[in-house]
Amino acid sequence: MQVRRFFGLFGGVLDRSTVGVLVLAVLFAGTGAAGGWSGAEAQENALVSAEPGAAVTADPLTVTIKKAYVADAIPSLAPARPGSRFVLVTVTVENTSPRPVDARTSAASFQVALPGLRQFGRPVSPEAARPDVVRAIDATPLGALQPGVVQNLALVWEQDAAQEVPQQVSIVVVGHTWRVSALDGSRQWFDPTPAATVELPLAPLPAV
Amino acid sequence: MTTRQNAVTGLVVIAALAAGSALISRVPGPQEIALAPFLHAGTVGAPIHLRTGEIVVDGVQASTQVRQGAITASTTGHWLVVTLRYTAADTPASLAGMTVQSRDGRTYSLARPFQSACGVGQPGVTIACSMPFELAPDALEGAHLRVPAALLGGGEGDDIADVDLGIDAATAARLAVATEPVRIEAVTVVGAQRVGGTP
Repeated sequence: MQVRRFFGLFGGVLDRSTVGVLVLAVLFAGTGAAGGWSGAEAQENALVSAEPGAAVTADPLTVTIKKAYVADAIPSLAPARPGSRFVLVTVTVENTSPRPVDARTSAASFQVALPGLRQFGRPVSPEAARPDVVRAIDATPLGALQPGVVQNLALVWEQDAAQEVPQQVSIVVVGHTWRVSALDGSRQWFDPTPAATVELPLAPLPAV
Repeated sequence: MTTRQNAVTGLVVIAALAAGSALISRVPGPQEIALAPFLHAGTVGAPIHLRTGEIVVDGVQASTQVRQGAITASTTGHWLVVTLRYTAADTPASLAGMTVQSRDGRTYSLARPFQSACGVGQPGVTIACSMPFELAPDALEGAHLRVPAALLGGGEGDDIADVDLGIDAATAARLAVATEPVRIEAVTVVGAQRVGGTP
């Protein structure tokens, strides 16, 4: 009733069909300003479950999770630390974007669902725990994933040794988006979005 | 106006709005244009003047292994090692944010463990340094080096040297099979000269 009275004020200028057109125009403009339908589409994309050894896509990366090991120490990567054990996951990664993915974003592209994770001597949640990322080819810390350069990597998480030794582990691969920062206008990798999960058995690290 | 005319008018308005929106989304905005850098094109051996100094690219090498001190880094692609000279203009300056661009537009950055191989240049003092970039196997041919005068707020930079590294198909093929490890020499002082910044 109130709406009809409101539009009645403009009765001399706007007829019913013109009002309809204006409402449609406002609807389109509002949808566009809110980012279109991309958000709704993203909501529909469930976390993909993949097998070990299968390539999964988490833009900008294509990732193959290969094997997972548990050990109290990992030669040349993680020396023994009282009260801790280490989980090592081997992966093959390719950056399919046209720009580098920095070390921080590369580490944030992997999560492990384990209780009692630790980082810098403090407990951290699985979402916040960043693995040490080491290049298998030369055992140097990963600096960046360069476009089109395939890297075999070792991901190392630290876990509280008081926790039960897990029999299997679930790795979540997280995608990112290259966009302009709303704060300072710089372009960076933002918006971490879990894209795929891989479950694999956790084996004792073979002796070298 | 009849109802049909109103409907047609409405559809035309909506179509014009959609077309305008699509056009605007494909045209660079005022901020994008204002932030676009000045590019100084150059080639190997030719001096290029930037706001903060002058660079000369002396040449390139490639390998699957590079060494600096006790560190040896390997790759499944290629290390492209660019050797250049730099003379800072009026104030101490460093060559931060250098990248290599492949012919198809991919960007390659310097990364650990060789991130800061060139250090800080003092005004009028020419230094020489080698920069290793890890490239995909197909990125050698047609590669360009991009050197910003300074890094500004994480953007591209305001003044950029764009150096054609002179890697044609034959050179790329020769570089692609090189496996002899390349030693990354420490930054060295090679001379002194007066360099004025570009206005």
